[in-house]
Amino acid sequence: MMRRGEAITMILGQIRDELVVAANGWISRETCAAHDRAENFYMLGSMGLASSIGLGLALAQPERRVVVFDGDGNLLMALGTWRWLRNEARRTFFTSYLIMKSMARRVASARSLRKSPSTALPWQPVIVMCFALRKPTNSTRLSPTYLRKPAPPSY
Amino acid sequence: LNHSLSFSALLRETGFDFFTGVPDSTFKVTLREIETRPEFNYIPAVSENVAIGLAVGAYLGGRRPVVLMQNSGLALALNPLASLAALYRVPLLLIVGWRGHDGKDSPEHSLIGASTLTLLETLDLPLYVPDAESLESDLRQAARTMQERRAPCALVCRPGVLR
Repeated sequence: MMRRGEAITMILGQIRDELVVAANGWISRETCAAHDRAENFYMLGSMGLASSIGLGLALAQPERRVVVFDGDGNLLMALGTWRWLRNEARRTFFTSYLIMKSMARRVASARSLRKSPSTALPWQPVIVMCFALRKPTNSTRLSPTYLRKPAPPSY
Repeated sequence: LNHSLSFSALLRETGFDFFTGVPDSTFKVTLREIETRPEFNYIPAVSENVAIGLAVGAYLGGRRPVVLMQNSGLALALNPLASLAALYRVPLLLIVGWRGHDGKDSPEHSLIGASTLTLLETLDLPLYVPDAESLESDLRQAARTMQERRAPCALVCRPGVLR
């Protein structure tokens, strides 16, 4: 059994210039602790919307690969989005599609929760989505500060 | 003022390039154009809060988003407006269909219709209530305000205002 933080650390160790959206709560904290980088977006509030933020990002940057670390509660709060994500992935020539992989199953039994609620937390699952709308190329790169300080739009 | 441009064309001309939302009859003509013309790349959202998420993601990716919704959906979008769009200072344009503005709409619109402007003011979101004559200038002013304040900004439209 792999802990959620370990799974996040492992995946962050594999990625290069992917844009990362991390869901609220421990997922954001563990992502930040594992590898804080300019291409990470930490969603502090708005529970349920990591998947739609990731999709909006992928639509705006179709050549970049976007990785979303989502939680099971987040997933349930936005199930409608997932149907759409699936449609979009099918409609376009997305190469590796929508990967949805539960890295760990919930094993926080009532007993462990009773013993220590805080130590039960790392056993909750992380849902990992990876999607891009076009085959990612190595030629498109964002400046490292891109996600934190988007260029102010000129209207 | 260029009255020959449709509202959807005005949005493009003003610089907006990402469109999502949930339909309402208040902006049905505008939405029909946005939905059917490929240059808009309209993304139909499953709910108004999801539309805010999509728009914020698109903004992070460098786009200039518009979210269309009925005011009943505005109530659903309040949390992501506060804890996502306002928190991360994302300028996005909300086009809100103002159902029940005069208390003469269907019963489900009466309470939310009466409190629509108050809800936006409570979140400290700049808002404009255009009529047909001020639509274009209000849109341009809203776009400027969004940029200056780096905040979501609402265009609250009564039925019949959008052309």
